[in-house]
Amino acid sequence: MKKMRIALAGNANVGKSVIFNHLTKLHQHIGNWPGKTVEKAEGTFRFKDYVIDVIDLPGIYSLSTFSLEEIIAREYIVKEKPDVVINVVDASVLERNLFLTLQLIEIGAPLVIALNQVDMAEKKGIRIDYRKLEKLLGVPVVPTIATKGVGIYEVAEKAIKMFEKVKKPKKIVYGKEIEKNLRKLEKIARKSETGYPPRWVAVKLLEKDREVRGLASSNKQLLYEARKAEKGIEKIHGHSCPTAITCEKYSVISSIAKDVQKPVKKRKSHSKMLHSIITHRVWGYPIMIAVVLLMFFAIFTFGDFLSGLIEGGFAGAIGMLETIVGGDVVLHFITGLLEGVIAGLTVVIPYILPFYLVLGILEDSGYLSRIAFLMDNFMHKIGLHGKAFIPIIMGYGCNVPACLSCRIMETERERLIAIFVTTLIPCAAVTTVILGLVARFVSIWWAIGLYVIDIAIVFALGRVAFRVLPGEPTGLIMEISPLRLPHVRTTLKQTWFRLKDFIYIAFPIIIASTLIIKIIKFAGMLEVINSLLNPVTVAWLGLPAVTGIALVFGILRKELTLIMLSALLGTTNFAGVLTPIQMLVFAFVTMLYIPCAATIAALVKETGWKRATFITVFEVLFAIMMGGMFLRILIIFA
Amino acid sequence: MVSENVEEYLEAIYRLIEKKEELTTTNIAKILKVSPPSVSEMLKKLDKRGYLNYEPYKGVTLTKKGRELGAMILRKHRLLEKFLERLGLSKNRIHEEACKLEHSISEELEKAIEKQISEPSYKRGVVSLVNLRPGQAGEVVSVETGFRVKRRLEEMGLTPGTRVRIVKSALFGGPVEIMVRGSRLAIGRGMARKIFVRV
Repeated sequence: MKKMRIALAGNANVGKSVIFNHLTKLHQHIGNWPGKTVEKAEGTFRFKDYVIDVIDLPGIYSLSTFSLEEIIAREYIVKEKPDVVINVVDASVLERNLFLTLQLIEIGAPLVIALNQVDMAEKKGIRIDYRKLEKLLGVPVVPTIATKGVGIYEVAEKAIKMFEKVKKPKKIVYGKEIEKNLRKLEKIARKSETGYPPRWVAVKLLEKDREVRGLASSNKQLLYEARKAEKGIEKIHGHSCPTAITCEKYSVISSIAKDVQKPVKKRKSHSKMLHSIITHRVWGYPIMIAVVLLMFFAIFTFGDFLSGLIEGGFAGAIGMLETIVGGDVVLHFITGLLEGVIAGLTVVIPYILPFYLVLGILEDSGYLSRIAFLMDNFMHKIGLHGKAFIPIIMGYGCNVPACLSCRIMETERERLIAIFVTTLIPCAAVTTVILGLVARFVSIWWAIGLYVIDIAIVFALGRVAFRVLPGEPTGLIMEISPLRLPHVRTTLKQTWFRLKDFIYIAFPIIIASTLIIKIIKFAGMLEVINSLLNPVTVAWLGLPAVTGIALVFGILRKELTLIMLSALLGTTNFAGVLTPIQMLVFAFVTMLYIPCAATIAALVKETGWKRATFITVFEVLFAIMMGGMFLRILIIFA
Repeated sequence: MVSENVEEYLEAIYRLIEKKEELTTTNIAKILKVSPPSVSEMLKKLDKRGYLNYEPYKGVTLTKKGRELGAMILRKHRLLEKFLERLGLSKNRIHEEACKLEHSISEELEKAIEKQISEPSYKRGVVSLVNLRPGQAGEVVSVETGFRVKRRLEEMGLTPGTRVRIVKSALFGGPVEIMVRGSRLAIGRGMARKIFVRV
């Protein structure tokens, strides 16, 4: 068996991952780029007499340094030198997509183009003469429809052919003035070892690329000549040099695109009409609210029913176990373990799984990016842009994957604000507490009220974080891809990845925490904890002393607060033991007081120890303070 | 001859549209530092003269005539601000001086200043992207954001000379949706204001 390595490169949302999934099926490994918070997807497949490693590079628009993704992609292509780079190009937005292709050619990657979504392009009224495109670029082009698996193996075939005999693409020739300068710089660049091809270095220097400038810093002559060339070009073109270069790239591309595109009959598209309705400047908002509410309502009604079933089923199992093993320490250990597993399952299967499945469908269909569009202005008030709404809405499922998904933010500062805000969102576990306590024993309106209060707090604290953290906010620049029917496999995959974040990080902590509780109970430490917390719970928050232990265990898992409370009070009819005000205060504090242990773990992973500790301590103190104030306000109005 | 007062009003309204703040008499009054009743008085007058459509308690929309005049005054204002800045006038004086001068400079002087400044976004007929109405198209002249964002926008296809079409702009000063090079982009309003186009 011969070995080869392929990298997939392309814009976001062009079907790169669909092709990746198609090629590698289940032989995949998802990890992180070393030292970076960007996801790295690798996989292998066998084809002909090759074992082929595939790496799915992050979706990018250019090989500059706008985002971490771009730097990672370009470093990978140059330093790791994959045998072949498959450039996935969206046929329906050919011109913009070829901008990356042009740079891949310049950086000297052995290239094969997968001209994807040719069916969508035809619908839009564009047919592409791919043979002509092949000729003009000097790069093999295969038309594909990834979602239907059309053309994928032909791409692999061409990749092998390219590997066996590398064919040089056509050289990209700029306008006279720029070309003259590039040739000159290229010659000087040959003398110093940057690891990048000299022509690419020349282009990047004229684009004022900071990283390449750093790499070339030892070659003083090169930098000097580059500056000189910049000035000359700026004078002639009347724009800054990077602008002039981008302009020329696009003029090369647009003449190619014009040459290969043939207009065909446009088909009527419902997706366009739907798009204008759901992003309508007035109707877009009520539609959005209705969709989100409906989603929540459906998931939590269904989840409540399902979690009852699961708990009932397992309760029998534990009872049986007790009669078999008899009461000793081993039993405590085993039942503790089992209870942990059950607790995890009763949150995952009824709530988190459906939540992420529905969210995945909304995402893949393109609706989530429309919500980002509608919410952009609102998010700006807390120093974020519309895209940040996606992790926030994910937070209502579980804070752990939500935290990790803050990686979609472009800058470190925005990621931090988004993470902070996400940990304040009541997750599915908190929702079970609010529904089980407030909605059932006080009123549904108070339950909704708590959510509204939470949003207000998120908004206020987000604004503070925005003011305190230094730096300029970035605005929204987002491509709006056409609405489509969600692709089943991609959606399931996405759901699984998010669930995996939960299973790998949260699940072990849930099980461990259940064991810890068993041990504490066994050691008879409950009373000690309660009396220690007395000043906070009884004096300041006006709650019964037993809530101290419930709140402490809530650190491990938020839904435990309610479960513990019913165990400690010996009843599930909370109306008999707590006043409505106490229930409200208890739910309120539970909602805010700490990101649970699993979220803290995710926080550490994403932001480091220092920030994770800061956020945690802050939220505990903040929740206690607000809880006490909330109590006093309620007393005044009651 | 259009009175200075009329020009000031149209400029203020045009500015509000750019920021997409709601066009209420209170907002206009705040910018011009006059009382709301006198604003509604003036709005009625402007309605009669065909610069705008005004319905009390409902709002204000500019007519074509009003929009053109507003755009012209605002352009003069920006041009003068830039010019005064180059002359080295202190920042807090610039706005006020420009407000006074904008009503009195002749076309020749305007052209001369334009030539002096010689920046693409200060050319005649150039407006900010957010001033286009939905469905209207323009040709990109320059992107005046910071280096990083400018590069990104250009890389997404907004290079000088490219045609862009506004599809819609979201409420409450939300982003604008544009079509460029066959792709559909959402761009935050803050950035869109710094993209200059020729209609």
